[in-house]
Amino acid sequence: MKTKRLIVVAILLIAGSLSTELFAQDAIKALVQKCENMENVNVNIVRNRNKETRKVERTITSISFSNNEALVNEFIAAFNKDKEMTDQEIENRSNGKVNNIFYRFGNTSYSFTQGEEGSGSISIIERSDNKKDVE
Amino acid sequence: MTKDYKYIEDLLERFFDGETSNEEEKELYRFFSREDIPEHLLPYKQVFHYFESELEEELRQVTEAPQTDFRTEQKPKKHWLALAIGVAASLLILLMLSPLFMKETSFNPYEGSYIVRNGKRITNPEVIRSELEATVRQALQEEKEASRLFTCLSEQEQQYDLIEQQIEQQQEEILNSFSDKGLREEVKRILKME
Amino acid sequence: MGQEQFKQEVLPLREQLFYYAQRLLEDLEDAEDVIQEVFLKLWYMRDDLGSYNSIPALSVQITKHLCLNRIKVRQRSREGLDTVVLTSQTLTPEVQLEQKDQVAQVMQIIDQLPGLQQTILRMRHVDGFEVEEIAELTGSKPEAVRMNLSRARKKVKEMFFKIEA
Repeated sequence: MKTKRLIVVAILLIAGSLSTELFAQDAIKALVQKCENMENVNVNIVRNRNKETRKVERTITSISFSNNEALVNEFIAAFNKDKEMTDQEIENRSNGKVNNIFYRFGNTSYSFTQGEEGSGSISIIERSDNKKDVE
Repeated sequence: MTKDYKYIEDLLERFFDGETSNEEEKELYRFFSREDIPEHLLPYKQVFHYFESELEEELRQVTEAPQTDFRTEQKPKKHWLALAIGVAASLLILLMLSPLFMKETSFNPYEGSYIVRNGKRITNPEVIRSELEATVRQALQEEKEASRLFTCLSEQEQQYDLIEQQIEQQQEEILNSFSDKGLREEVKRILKME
Repeated sequence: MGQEQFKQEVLPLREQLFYYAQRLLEDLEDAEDVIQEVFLKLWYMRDDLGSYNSIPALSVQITKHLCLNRIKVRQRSREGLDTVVLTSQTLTPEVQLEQKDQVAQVMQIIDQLPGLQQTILRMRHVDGFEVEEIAELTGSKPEAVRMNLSRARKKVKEMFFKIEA
C-alpha cells in the first residue's frame, strides 16, 4: 500500500508541475503549440542545419494572424507570465496598448508585435550554440 | 469477322505492354488454342501456348537446378568470428550508405522545417522554401532592431544614472555649504520632498 | 510468411538497399531493376529467411551479387561479346520436348531472360500475382513493374519470332 501511495503522490507531483509553468518560457511555447492546430493562424517553423554536421543550429518559429483580438491578448498574457526569467526585455506601449514585446533568455529571443484590428505576429529564434548569427 | 480480330489485336498490344487483366489473358489463351486462327496471327499461337503452360514447366526445372547460394549468411556451426565479421560488414555498408550518412546526396539545409496553414502541415521543400527564407530574414531583422534598441536604451539608462549621480553630488555640495546644522537639516528635508 | 508480414519486415530495407545499388551501378533505372529483383528473390525465399542470421545482411549480399552481375554484363556488351546465344534448334517447343531427355543442358526460353524478367513472369503467370501486388511486394511503382513485365513478354515473343523468320 505504501508503494501505491508513493506512486499516486509521484503522479500528482508530475501532473502538478505540468499544469503550472515551473520553467521559463513555458507559457509562450505552450501557446505556440496550440496555434499549430488553429484555423487562420499561419505558423512557419524553420530549421537551419549546418552543412558539415547536419545538425540543427537554429530554429525559427514565426506565427502570424489577423482579426483575432482574443489570441493577441492570450499572447500578451503568456509573455507576461514568462517575464520573470528574462535576461533582456523591452516593451513598447502607446495609449495603454502593447505594441511590441521583446525578450531574450540566453540563446533564445522572443518578439511579439501587435498591429491593427487584432492582428499579431510572434517570432522565436532558438540557437543551439553561442554564436549570435549563424550563416 | 474483322471486328473480332481488331479486338484480339488490341488485346495483344496491351498484353505485350503488360496491361492486360487475368480475364483478358484467359481470352487470349482461348483464342490462340483454336484451330481457325487467321494467318497474320498464327505466329502468336506458340507464344501463348508457352505463356499458358510451358512457362510453368520450365520454371519447375529451373527451381530444381542449383541456385546461387548465400550460405555464408545461414546459421553456422563453426566460424562464428568470420560470420560475425561478415554480418557486421554488411550491416555497416547498409548503414554507411544510407541517406543519413551519404554526404554526396542532396543535403536539404531546411530539413525538418514546415509551415502550417489552417491546421495542416505542409512540408514539401520546393513549395515552402521561399516562405521559409522570408521568415528567417524577417525574424533576424526584428531581432537585430530589438538588440539595437536595447543597446540604445541601456546607453540612455547609463546616461540617466550619470546625471542622477551628478545631481546627488551637487546636493551634497549645497548641503555642506550650510555651516548651520539646523538650517542644513531643514534644506535636506525640502530636497527630499522633491 | 504472408504478404503483410513480408511488407512489414522486409520491405523497410528498400531505401537503403536502393542507395547501395545506386552507388554501385550509378544508374537509377538499373538500380530500380536490381531492387525489384532483390525483393522478388527475398519473396521466394520468405519461408527460409528464419534460418539466416541477419536479413539485412542477406539482402545486402543479394543486392551486391546482382549489381556485380549487371556490371559484368555491361562490360561484356561493351567488349562486343554476346552473353546469350540463340539457336533456333533449341527454341521450338517440339524440339524442346525432344531435347528434354538429353544429357546436355537444355537452353530453355526462360533461361534466356535476365533474372528479374524471369521472376516477374513467374510471379504473374505461375503464381498469379497482379501487377499492383508485385509492386507492393517490391516497394516499386506499378508502372516500373509493368515495364519489366512488358519487356519480358516482348523478349519471349521475339525469341519465338526469330525462329519463324
